Amino acid sequence: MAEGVHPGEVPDWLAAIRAEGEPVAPPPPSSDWLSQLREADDSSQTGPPAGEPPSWVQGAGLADAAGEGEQVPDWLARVRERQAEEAEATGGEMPLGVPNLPEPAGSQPHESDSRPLPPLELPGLDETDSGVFYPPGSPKAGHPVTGVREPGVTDSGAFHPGSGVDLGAPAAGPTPSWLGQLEAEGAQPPPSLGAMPHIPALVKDADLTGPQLPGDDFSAEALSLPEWLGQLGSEAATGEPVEGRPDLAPATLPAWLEAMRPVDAFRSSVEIGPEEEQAVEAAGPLAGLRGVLLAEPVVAIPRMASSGPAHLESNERQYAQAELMHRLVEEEQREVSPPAPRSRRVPIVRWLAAGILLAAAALPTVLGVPVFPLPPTVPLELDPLVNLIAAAPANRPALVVFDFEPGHAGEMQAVAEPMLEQMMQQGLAIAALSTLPAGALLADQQLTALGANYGYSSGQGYVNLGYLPGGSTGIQLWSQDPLAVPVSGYALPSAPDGTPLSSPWQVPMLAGVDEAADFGMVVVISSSAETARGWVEQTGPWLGATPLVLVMTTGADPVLRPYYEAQNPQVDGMLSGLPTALSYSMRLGRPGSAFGLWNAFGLTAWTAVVFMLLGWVPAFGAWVNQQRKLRGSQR
Amino acid sequence: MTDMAALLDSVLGPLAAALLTLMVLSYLLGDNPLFRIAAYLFIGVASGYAGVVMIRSVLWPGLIDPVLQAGVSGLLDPELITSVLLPGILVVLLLLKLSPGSARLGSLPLALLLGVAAAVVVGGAITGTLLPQTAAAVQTLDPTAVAPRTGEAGLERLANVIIVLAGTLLTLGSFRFTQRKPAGLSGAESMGTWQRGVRTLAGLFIAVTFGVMFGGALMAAIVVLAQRLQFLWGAVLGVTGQILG
Repeated sequence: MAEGVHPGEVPDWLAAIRAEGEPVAPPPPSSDWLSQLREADDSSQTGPPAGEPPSWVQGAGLADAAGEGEQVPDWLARVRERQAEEAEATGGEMPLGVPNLPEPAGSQPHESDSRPLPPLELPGLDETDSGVFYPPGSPKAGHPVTGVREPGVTDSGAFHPGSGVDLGAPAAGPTPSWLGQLEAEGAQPPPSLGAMPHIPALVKDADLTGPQLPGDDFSAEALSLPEWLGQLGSEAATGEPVEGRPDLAPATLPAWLEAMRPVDAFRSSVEIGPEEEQAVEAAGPLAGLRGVLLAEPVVAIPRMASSGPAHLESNERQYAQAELMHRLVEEEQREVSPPAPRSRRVPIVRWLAAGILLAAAALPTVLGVPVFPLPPTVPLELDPLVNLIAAAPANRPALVVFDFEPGHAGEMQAVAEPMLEQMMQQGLAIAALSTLPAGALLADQQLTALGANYGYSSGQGYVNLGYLPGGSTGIQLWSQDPLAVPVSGYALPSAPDGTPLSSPWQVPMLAGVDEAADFGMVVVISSSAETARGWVEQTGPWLGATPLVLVMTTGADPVLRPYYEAQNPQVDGMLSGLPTALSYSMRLGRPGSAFGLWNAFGLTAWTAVVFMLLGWVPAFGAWVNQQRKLRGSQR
Repeated sequence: MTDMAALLDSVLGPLAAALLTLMVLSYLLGDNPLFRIAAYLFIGVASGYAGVVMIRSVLWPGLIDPVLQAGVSGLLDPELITSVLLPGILVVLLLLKLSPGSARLGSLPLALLLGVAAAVVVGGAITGTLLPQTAAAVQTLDPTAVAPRTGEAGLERLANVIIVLAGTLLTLGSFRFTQRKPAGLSGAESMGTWQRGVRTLAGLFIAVTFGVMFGGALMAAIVVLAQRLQFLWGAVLGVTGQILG
């Protein structure tokens, strides 16, 4: 419903037309509801002045048809003729839309013209508080029908004449034939409406997008529009050029204007289809008309502004970001010269410390001057170890495990040397084994070097079993059943007949070994605390009375010593560090590798201690200053 | 021993070892190509040697040689199937790990390896370390007892036992994994006075332990350095003697 027109009120222009006193056609017999509708239509509304057509008629180019008070315009005469014909054809019943037509000039205004038109009570329709009407017999009367609102029904529930609403059949009385025809035709929605959802023009309610209700056939045929209105529609549909205008194609822009228009702002040409294909307006004051400009392009489809703002509105933050972006782009485009080669700072302190350490380690060896006295004390674990090896059975070989990498060979070979010499002095058979691939090689190297002094060779005094794969799993398997573990041996001797042995177990010295407990003792020479601990853990339950000895690096001593000094010790002997090895050598009376390394080791160790003290003094001073500053800040 | 072998052992071998030692020690001057060459050479030789040892000591006697001796008909022997054929299939599946497309097939032998190794290590740690060392920590405080290895007795042994017991308990008590930290407080602020004392004393024990381990590693490194310089000096003397003599 158009704004400014209140329910029950007759527009001013309509009232003015009625006041012109045109002869009124004899009212055809109609039902009561239609009489009420007419009464409502005759309500007082101030229309345009007498003799002037309404503004919308002027806009349609028909201003000439009105204005001569006594003369009936042609269009009005045609309307009356058609009205009379339809009244005769329908037996006096007025078709829909007729009450909205202006009355002939000179007709007497009705007495009720001066009264405001009360809200119309529509028979046969239910009204809810919200003003939504439900036709009787609808599947769910009492519930609002969402979707397209009934044209002509306002929010307050009042009926506004002239809105072209199909009121449906009255509750009592016979149904007019034309209305029945309308209902029959209205059961099928027009193809133009069923094609796509449609927003009626000039309607603000956004809810008018639902499905069409049955009977909402607002086509020109169904509504029986006046002829003049049909002519207007046909003229608009044909799109013929108007006389006196330049010969321009309809809705086609000239080239110069086409070039000036914003890109994609609008289409350069509008294709107007034939009238039959155009949609019929479903609601609003233009209901029932074809060719109405759609509201979608105005309401729903966003468009680009035809002209941009004259000034770019930006705040300080956006300006700063834009400036930053600009600088980044400039920075990318700038040629960066290669950085100048930095002057390499000579690590004088590191070189000085390295030189001093190297000199401390090399000078005693080069000069051959004894600098440090031999260790005066003997470690507590040395005597039990010496006694343990001395008590080892001579008829059972000792298993010696060489589990150290070549990088630790300098220390481990020096530490293990006196113990191996004692074993060779006693004539113990040695079976070497290693869980590291390089261990077998290191074992063969040391046993060959030491054995030369005691008549030991491969197969004669010692045998190298080689590499034991599997890590901890292999150790456990070896402890359970040594013969089940496939060891191939290393540098195996030949048989007495000169044929090479295929297995180390073919060596006669290992003839009595069937399990781990058959060895006279097990010695593990390891540079890793984890490896030594693995041997203790995995072989402990299987050794029985066979003693287990650990020969280890100095760093692993604190980790492995608890296995030795426990109340129920798991390790029977320990040997770690160069000082203990030197004491061992002195105990045997044979200066070995430990003795040759002792001076270099002592002087280098002292140098390292001096370096640590020199480094500790400034660090302690810095810590004192930091604590002083912290206390000062807290105060 | 042939002359070539003798020359290799007495001259070429020590000379190559001396050169490689000097190349490694050149790292004192900073990272340089000589050090890199020595490092790459060491890694390559170690890997190649380990591979050869694996093939010679493991694959050949355990997998290939039994098949060659038994022949094709011997593959149907049940003992050979369980001891050679099934391990061979697992080895092939493990080799499929090299290809991303068939890597999933190698998960079976890998899972078997890891599972067995973990079971062995954990079982050995429980029975060989955890239980025995726990029992060893709970030693008697009897002053008349004598330590079996060190011969300590009387107050000396009693003081040693108390120190070991206190160090063990304080160290274990300093690791508070189950105590909830109140919101908004740091770890030190959330502790009480006695907890701070425990943490401080335990820190002393831990620091002494790490210091001893570091000192031992330093001593081992010094021994190795002295041994290498001794070897270099011996190599110089040997080469000089060979040249002069």
